[in-house]
Amino acid sequence: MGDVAIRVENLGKRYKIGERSRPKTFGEMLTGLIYAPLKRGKVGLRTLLAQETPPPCEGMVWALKDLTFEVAKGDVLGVIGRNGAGKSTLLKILSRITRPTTGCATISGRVGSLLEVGTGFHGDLTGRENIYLNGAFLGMKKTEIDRKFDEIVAFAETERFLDTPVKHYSSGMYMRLAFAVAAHLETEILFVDEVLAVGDVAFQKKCLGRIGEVAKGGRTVVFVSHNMAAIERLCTRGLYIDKGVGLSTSSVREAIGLYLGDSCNEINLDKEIISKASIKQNGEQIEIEAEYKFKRNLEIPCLGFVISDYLGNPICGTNPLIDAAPLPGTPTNAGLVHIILESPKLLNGTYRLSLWFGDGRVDYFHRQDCITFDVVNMAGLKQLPASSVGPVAPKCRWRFS
Amino acid sequence: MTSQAPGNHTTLIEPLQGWEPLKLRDIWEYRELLYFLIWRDIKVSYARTNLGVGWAVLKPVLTMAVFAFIFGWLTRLPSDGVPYPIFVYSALLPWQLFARLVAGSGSSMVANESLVTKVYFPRLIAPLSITVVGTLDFVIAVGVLLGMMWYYQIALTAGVWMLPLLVVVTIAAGLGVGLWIAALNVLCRDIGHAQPFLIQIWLFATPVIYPASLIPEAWRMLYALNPMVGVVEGFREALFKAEGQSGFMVGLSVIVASVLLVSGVYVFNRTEQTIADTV
Repeated sequence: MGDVAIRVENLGKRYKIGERSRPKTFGEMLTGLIYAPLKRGKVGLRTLLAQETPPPCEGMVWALKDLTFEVAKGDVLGVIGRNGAGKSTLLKILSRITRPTTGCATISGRVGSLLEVGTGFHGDLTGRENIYLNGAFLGMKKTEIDRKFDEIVAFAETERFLDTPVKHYSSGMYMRLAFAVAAHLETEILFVDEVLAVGDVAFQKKCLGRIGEVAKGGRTVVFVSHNMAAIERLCTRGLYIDKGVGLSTSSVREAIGLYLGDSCNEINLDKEIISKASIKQNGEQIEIEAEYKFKRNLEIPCLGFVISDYLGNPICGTNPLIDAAPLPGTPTNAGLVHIILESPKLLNGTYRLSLWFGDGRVDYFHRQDCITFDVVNMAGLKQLPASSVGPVAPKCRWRFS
Repeated sequence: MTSQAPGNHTTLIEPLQGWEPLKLRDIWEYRELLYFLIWRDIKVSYARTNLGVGWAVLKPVLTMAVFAFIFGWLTRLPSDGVPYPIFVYSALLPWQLFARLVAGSGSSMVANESLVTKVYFPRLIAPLSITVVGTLDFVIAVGVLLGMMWYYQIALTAGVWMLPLLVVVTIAAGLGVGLWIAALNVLCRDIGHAQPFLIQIWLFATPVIYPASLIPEAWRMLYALNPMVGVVEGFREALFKAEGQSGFMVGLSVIVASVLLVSGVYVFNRTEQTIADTV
């Protein structure tokens, strides 16, 4: 195997969707259970002999398809993609929670996987007991946990409550303890799925820092996240997955670029006044486009927008009237509105767009948070985290005297 | 096929292909988790009660008291000449172990859903932990039996050596049925609802409250296909009679229990691979 830690070949996973075709009777279920593997074996043999792909089935969807990539020892691979692109499925297959439908993966090295923090935590057990239980679930040996115990407790900042059942913990304490155990998992290969967003800001920073340490420690990490800033900071390589198909395992920047290019997020609302709308980051600007079609001619195609943070707190917004935009000379009933936002500069993160449309007096259309989009490095490479300084970059003139 | 070679830790992940061999080595690698699960189950079930381990004794004793009152005193069911309370208690011991294994391992996958979908471990570990905890409770409850035998002045017979064998048969049968239920329960939740009735009916199909001699001779063979019939009869014979006619029943139990266990393990092992997708 040499220096390859993870080799994935033609990996595919197919799920049944919709109403699962349930066996009608108990008898059918029993026979199904016994015959299914035989049948599958036969199909498998036939495919093998005829060298063809398995026959497509109705109501099936490929969560992951023909994914092939390699991760070298010591690499930190960031896996990015939209919701439902197959990122979590990939991690589940690699962590042996579920089986692939096609292809195979070879992993050389001890594996630890963090798909969730606090796996196996039991409310009636004390903090101390849960550290051991959770550690065992993550694959740690008792001696290993013994050795790390003090470190874990110190990291979680819960010394005083070690012998209290965790059901009496505050949710913050609970998450801190859970992450602390996970953070001390010392395997050669680590799979991490968005467990960063735990606890308060200070603790999040600590978590990110810890993952950074792990990554620098020469271990192989596969990291799935929506947080592009974290991906860019921590990862050495990027894998962009779209609709179950892996597109790039090159540099992180390239993968993020693909993700953002793809995240020219738009909505299509066929019968509505706004039939199409999109927003995307273009370098240091944000571009919004909307197509409108109204029942009568309008002097002012008054498209208003508000950008909010991921939680829905509004950040900025305006419309052509307030912004004193140059209006079209002749009234029309259909057209395209194109807006370029030069400021404010948004910090790295995910944002939401809400849209209004009217004639300047009455609004005939309103969609709250209709598009979600990501911003990466709009405000430059050096920036403070939006979680501690707010979502916009200030533009200042400094003077020291 | 997933395999983990020792030393260099190479894991191969491949699609599921029909029946797969048991990964005993994998279970061995995760033995510490098994230990922690056993410890958790003991701790969680008794730590927050006032009576603690006392419940392991109270459960069979209370059931015995109720049965002795209704079936021994009110209904006056025959008991092969043995005082009814000890007659019923000697059967309740293996029966409750069996019922606990069926119920516990039967719901082990659905109950641990959050674990099964988030972390890998050989799934067989969950029912195994229930087996160990159930057996520990059984051993504690045996203490009461010894006390009762002393009270009723019943001397231990030479047949006691049979008891450990019968306990093993009970575990095999209980685990086997439990694993079948666990596997089917994942595919179809109706099984989970049907399970309490199954156990209830099974209780009446087992000579716990009545002696097996009550069953007409012609039906004995069919009756003894229930592996718990041989176990319970064997228990009573070993305790009270020294030698008797339960030989063929016990033999049949051993066969049926083995078939249940082996088939249960394989069906469970097969379902295990897709549990995270369907649970």
